[in-house]
Amino acid sequence: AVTAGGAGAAPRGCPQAPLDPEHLYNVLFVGDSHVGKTSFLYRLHADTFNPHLTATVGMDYQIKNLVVDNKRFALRLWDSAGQERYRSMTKQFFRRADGVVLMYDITSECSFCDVRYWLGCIQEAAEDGVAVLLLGNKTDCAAQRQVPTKEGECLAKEHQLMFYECSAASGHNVFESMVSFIRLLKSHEDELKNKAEEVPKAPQKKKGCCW
Amino acid sequence: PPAPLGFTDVNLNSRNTYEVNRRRSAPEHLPHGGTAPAEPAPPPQEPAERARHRVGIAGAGSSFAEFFTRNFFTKRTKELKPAVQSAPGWKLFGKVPPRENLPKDSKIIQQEYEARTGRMYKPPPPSARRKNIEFEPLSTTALILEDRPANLPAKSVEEALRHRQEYDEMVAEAKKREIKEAHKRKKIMRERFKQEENIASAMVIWVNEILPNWEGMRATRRVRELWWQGLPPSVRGKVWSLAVGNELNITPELYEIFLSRAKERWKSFSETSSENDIEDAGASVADREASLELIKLDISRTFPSLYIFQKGGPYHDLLHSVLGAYTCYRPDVGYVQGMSFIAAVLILNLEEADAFIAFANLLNKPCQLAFFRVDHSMMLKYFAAFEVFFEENLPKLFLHFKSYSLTPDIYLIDWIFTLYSKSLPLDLACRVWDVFCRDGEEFLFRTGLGILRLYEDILLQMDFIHIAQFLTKLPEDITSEKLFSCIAAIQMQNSNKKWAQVFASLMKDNKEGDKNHSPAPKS
Repeated sequence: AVTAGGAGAAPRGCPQAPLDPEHLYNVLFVGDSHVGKTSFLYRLHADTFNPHLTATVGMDYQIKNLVVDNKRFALRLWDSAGQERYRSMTKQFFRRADGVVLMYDITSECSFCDVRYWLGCIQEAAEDGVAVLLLGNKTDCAAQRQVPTKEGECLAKEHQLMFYECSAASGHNVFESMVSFIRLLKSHEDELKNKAEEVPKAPQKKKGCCW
Repeated sequence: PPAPLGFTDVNLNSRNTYEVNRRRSAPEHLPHGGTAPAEPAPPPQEPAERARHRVGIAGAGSSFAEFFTRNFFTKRTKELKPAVQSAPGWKLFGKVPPRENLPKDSKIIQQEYEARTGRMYKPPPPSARRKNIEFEPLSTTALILEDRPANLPAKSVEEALRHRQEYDEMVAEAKKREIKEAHKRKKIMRERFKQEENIASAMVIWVNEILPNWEGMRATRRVRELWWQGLPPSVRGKVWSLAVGNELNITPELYEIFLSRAKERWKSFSETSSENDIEDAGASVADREASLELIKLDISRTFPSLYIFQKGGPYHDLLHSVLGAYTCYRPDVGYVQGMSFIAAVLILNLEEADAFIAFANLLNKPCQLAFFRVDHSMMLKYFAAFEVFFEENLPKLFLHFKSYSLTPDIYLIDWIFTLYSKSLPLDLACRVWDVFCRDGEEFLFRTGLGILRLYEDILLQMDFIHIAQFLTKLPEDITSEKLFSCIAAIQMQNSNKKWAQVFASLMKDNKEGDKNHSPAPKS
């Protein structure tokens, strides 16, 4: 029972989770410059493609509420600048991320090669066992494709990542991938809670504030 | 009908005079998937402040300028604006086209009602509507006056009466609102004309008195005050150049040398990358070349709504040249995202070589050098100094931010890296640059505090992520009057210490500040 609505055919604006979300996740978006991180977030936010987005400087922030499986989720989305120079700044944000979305551009072999670099960053800076979603963006540019779907799948399998190909321009798989990722984040949270209950330690309760 | 997409020919009148036909660029802006255009039509292709200037001088009415400045950055979220509607679920007075299945059209219902109540419905002539504020609100759908469908129980007399009364109230309310809005529009127009007049008279003073005696007059009180009011666009570039100076002694010839070097490198880069295996190129490109490639990608993403820096646009190659020459001139700094905005603003106000000279000198200032080299310890010093004045000026908001561990880097990085040209409307950013040229780096931080002060009440109601979201996507309707009065109210004085002194003392104690400043998402 996903109410997020498939992109494309879906009516504008999926049902927003009203008020207090039951679950709240920090999700960091990383990947090379110009792969489409901000466009993806724009599509997620407004369900339309904005061709006039500017390069992200430093970090952008967005909040997205979604109802998945009849539960209300709030995502705090951290959209990082892709350029090498900014990476030292981005690293600080890995630590508190519940999930990382690692994006590459299927029309750019370079951006796919750098996925390994980014995985290194995640391993180095993020919590162990952080949920990672590998996203190959720009499926609408099929003619310019340089990275076969298979390669993305293999890499994801190798590193045990969730994998999707999507298009911020057409909306293909944008909501679907986020819904799956939310389910993954939820299962991670449940696992952590179970562990916390085994070890007598107060589980950290996440709560939305100031809505 | 939606805005006249693609049918306006805009006369560009900046450095060269030429016409740009919007028809050419229109198709790519059509939204995907056949959805209704959520975005307003792309604005005409001219720097806002110039456009506004020209429109004002020509007295051609303000709607164009107003439209332009409002839609300047289409990326911003519209939801920040409070919803202006009345009864929930009703769209009584909007521009909604009448629904197909409505038995009668709204005008007929209204006419019937007017006939019943003995008033005559007089559709106001379209021209009178604009001039006269006393008018009937248009397009009231007056559904509430309709009889119920036959399959439902009919309205009782009291109910019908009540509905009539409610309708009258709604009409009165709408009328009031429209009159208020008309007054507001009128006031804005009046202010705009006044502003244009001020700019025109200031221009005379700048050209005839100040510029010929620059060194003698720049520091005088009179000039500084005039400067604060904003530089007239026609002298803006000149004053910026003079104020930034040319410590690096760059000549136009030197620029040409670095530009030709950059061109050579582009040539060899594109040759090698086409010869080599793509995979090989991807893995081993040096950072330098990667940043050359990045410049190309970023140029079209610089002020995208202006349509002048995109591929094929009039300033595309210019911006490419200035940034490319800079990476050759300062390989130790290289290209950093955010720079393209600074170079673009300079290009809009200066000739090519002068823009480069100002760009290189501007980026050579300590603050800019620290940020663009991503010198963490220096950046933290700037943030710390900012916080000193933040606490001094806005203690309540300061504590609010502290309670969420919301550190200044969250919002300052974007503001400082682009000198506000990305986050503020372009004309307003130029005014910030004006005073930045007068006062130096401290004004950048003062502007930041001014923004925080302007939105203090709203920010106090928000939590971490909403503050972060708000400050990186400032409302579009921010006006220079409001912002500058807030900036003016910020005291850059901390127990008799000025910015430079506070900063210097922070530089002295090296140990502190390096820790406890790591920002992180707060949960």
